[in-house]
Amino acid sequence: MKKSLNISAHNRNQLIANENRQYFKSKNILTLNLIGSPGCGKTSILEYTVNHFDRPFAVIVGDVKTALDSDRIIHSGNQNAFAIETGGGCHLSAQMIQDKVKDINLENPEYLFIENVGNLVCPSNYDLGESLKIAILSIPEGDEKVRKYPALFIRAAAVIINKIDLMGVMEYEIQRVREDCRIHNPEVKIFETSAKTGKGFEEWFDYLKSQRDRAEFKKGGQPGLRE
Amino acid sequence: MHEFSLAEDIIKTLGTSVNHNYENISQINIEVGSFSGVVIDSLEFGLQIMMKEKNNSTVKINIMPVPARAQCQCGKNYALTTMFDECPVCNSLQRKIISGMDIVINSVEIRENQ
Repeated sequence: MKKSLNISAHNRNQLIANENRQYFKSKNILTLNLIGSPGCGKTSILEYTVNHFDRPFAVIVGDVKTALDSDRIIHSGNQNAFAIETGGGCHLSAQMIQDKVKDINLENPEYLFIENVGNLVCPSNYDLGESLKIAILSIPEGDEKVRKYPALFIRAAAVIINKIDLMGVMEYEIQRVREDCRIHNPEVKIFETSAKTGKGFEEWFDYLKSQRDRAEFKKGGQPGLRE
Repeated sequence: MHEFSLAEDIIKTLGTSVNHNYENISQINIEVGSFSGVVIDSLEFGLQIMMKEKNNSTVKINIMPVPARAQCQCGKNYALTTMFDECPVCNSLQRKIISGMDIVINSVEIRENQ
């Protein structure tokens, strides 16, 4: 006997992600899922944010091993940073976020940054219940990442090109990267930042504020969610 | 790379659908989109191992590849082999990908004698 199912393999994760999204909405928190390669500067961007962003936020950092990155956030002055050690897992899942969020006081924060495991492949396929997926690139990685890892760039509402201070030192065709991003998502917002010099962060912070202020968010929509 | 986590989720979803009577399943039919980022062999391997753990070592895993298709702004519906394939009619890249991104548990075959 054939039993028809037609259920997405991501369905289990998706149901939990939807619960997370409802929860964040009830707390009026804009949640961002930061996805990028190991070493692209995800944690450095958050460290800079701790010292220069004037809104309260919490951070969850996923790594295969250690709490080194959440420690870096705490040392830069934000105690509201928590680690998830995946113990080998290549991505965070909605369940991991749901379990971790239980330990976090989210009454005060307006934003939750989730720094995913450094990886451009698997994290792209797992909705965590975020409002926005943010792809992070960096100049030393080379300018072909958007072509090589399309799954992320189809889903990312914004792309940060970090370590922009290394333009001129490395060969990087930034215009082509911008065009490649727009092929996957014509409405994508692109930021050029340096966590070392602070370049580009004002625009990034303005974007964060505008996304949280968006009427759709207050009404409970999912800004930038393209699926 | 995350085929084992996917296999785990598929097994749990199947469990709910068959009242956890995993041993009654003779075949699992799964559609895998060509842009889903999944290595079919690894997914199949993961599913076989996990079904074995559920005391079913005879299950057939039938994986059906689903090609990616796009709907161009000009109206043309066309097949994609890469994400950067232009519309064959208007050469545009302003299109929406309409299939080939997901992994779908299509159906299961359940042994009649149960």
